[in-house]
Amino acid sequence: MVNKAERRGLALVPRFEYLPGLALPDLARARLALSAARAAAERGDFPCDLGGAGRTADETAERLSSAGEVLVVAGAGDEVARALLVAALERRGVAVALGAPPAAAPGAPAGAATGASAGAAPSAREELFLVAERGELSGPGAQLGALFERTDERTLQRRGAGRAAGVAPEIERIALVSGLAEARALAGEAGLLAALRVPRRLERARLDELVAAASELAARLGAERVRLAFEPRAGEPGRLGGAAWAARYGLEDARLRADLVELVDRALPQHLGLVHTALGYWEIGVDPLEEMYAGNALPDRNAELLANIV
Amino acid sequence: MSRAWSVLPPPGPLSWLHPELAGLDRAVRARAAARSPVRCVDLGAARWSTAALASAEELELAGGPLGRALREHLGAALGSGTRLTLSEAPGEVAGVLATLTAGTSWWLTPLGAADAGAELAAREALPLTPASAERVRAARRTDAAWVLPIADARDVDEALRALARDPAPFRAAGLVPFFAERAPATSGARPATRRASAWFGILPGDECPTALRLGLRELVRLLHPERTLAQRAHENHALAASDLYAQALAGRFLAPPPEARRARARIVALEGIDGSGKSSHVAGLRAFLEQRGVPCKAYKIYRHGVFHATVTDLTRRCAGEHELHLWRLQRLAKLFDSLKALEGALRADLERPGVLLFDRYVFTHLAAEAGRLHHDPYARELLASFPAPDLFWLLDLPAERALERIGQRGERTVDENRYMLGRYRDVLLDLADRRGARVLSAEAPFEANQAVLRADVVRLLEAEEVRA
Repeated sequence: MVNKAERRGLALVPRFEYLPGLALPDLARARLALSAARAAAERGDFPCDLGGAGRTADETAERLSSAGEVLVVAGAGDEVARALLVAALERRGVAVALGAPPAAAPGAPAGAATGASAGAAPSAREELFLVAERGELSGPGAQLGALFERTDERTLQRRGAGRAAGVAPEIERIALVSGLAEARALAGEAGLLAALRVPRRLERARLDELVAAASELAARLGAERVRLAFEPRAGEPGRLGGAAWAARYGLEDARLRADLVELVDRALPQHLGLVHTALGYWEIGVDPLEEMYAGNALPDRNAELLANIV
Repeated sequence: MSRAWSVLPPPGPLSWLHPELAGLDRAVRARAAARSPVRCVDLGAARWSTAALASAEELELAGGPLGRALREHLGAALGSGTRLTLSEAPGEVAGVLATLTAGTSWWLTPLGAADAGAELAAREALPLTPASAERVRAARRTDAAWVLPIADARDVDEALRALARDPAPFRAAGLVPFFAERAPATSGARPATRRASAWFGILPGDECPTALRLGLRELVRLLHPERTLAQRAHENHALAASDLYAQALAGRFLAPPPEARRARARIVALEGIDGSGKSSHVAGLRAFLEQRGVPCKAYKIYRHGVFHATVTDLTRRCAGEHELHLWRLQRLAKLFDSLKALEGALRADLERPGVLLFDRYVFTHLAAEAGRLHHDPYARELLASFPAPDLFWLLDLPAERALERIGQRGERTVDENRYMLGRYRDVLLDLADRRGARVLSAEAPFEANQAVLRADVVRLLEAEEVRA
């Protein structure tokens, strides 16, 4: 019989995504989720939470409280979520180790038990095509190596099934497309999910080109099948504007902020309300998803807030 | 040519949370636009501006909760020059969702409708069983959604029971739970909040018992785990009466924050949580400046007395998770009181040379709102009348230490508890970082901190002299 002190748990902290229907998930984080899911599937029955089950830090810690020690895994930019979970575990007397998920054996399944999910995506088995910069295929597609295997110059094929894959579990094949003209040609095929790469610096002509491509893709595929793939920042995302998520989308840069609004306004207007709302969060320096993870919703804290006067 | 236009509002919070509803909406909108005998403007599918809408003589807004929210916004933005009406029949999925009977799940199939005049007539009620889930999953299209209207705790319990054994098939089928809209104050119970129209589906209405709310949270967690935190954030904003849809319609955050005219007096702001020693430091600085012959006044823009006691009485009504919109109202009351202080003697002093020392400045308001409500009730705009400070210091102190110090003072205010002091501290540290403030430990010796503050003020005044 394994006693509590010997039971080691695993927790991957959640990622706070404000524009899941518009932005392609962070692929580096997706790799982390996949490797955690594989490790979990390999080890079988042990205390585990892979950050996709919609629990708060306290609820997660409660589920893991049977472990003597929990390995807490977080991606770059997830430091606040990690700190919240670590504090919640320590309040319950659970020892915490920080680090990467243990390596899984090659080919181990990323089990359905993970409950992790990569955000809103079409439900049918989909193909994804990523649009790289002109003539280059070194953009977001290059980061998919851990999830997908390159079968030819232009194609990445999924390696294993599972809900932990960051590009949505239904996506089986990714076509890498060089340039928007090629993307438009490919978009005639049904069942595709398109991710347009948005560089950190957008010239006027490039913005117009992206708007035209996004509009055309939305008209052909349906707007819910078009995503933006934001060019990763160099180095670690910081807490500019109060949140790492804002830095990931480039919202700390006034020009890219304006470009994003214009792109969405002109090509994907159904997202405009949510983009405005996210800009507002950034502007006033709040991170509501982080607050919810911390258990700070107004009704949940109400009694505490009134303690001195009621 | 008729100058009456038909207008479809842009997607709202329910579609932000469940994007598949926006997809469904779009199919319905396209049909509505094609059928419309007058020009149809779909604000969810094309660029638009209030100025462009102002060229119509009459705007007929699609019925439903979002239409009502849009009418409110356009009424304020367009004035009386354009007549606004709400159509009887909901022209949007949102409107139809709002009228669905609770307790049954529905599969909406707008494009399969035989009757072009009633695009949602083909909706079909399905029992909440794995077999239904499989049928929906197999037939799933972008122009259909399987939705579960919830009206009361019994509906939630039944749904949770149906999902208890294995939520996976229902998750795969994309079942969307939402609160069916009810008329305000149907049972006479004390309302949970005054819910803005656009939050339909997130809360049932003004009344929202805790058990019902928690049940829906669990349903969303089981069906759409990746949306759970977003659903809680929406619920939080709805209960706190922050109308994010109205703010998005108004494009509130597209323009840079308004800035006040620079004052002639130098503004020196000392911030920190209760017990951090602000008042003592302001008194010390004032004495120092007066000794040097610098005209100087100390101000508090957060006032106590009858006003404060009245606002506290208002806040007490939130006990038991009732009338949570009053948290926002008490913040607005405090904001307006600070503006009232500004328009008194302070306004004249801002135009005189000298130094104005503030024992708390606008940042305390910002910290109170972000810390408690996770948004702000237009504080950014309201506080823009206050000039930016020339010096901003934060006396940083952990909440526990602050409570030890406050403990000796007698009765505590509403904010003098561990949670809120911690929230104030977190947000003030963030604001200090963003605004380039100097952060001092309030636990350092008083003389050491006072020396730093005095040196900063002297530098500021010397720089002014050089400029003069």
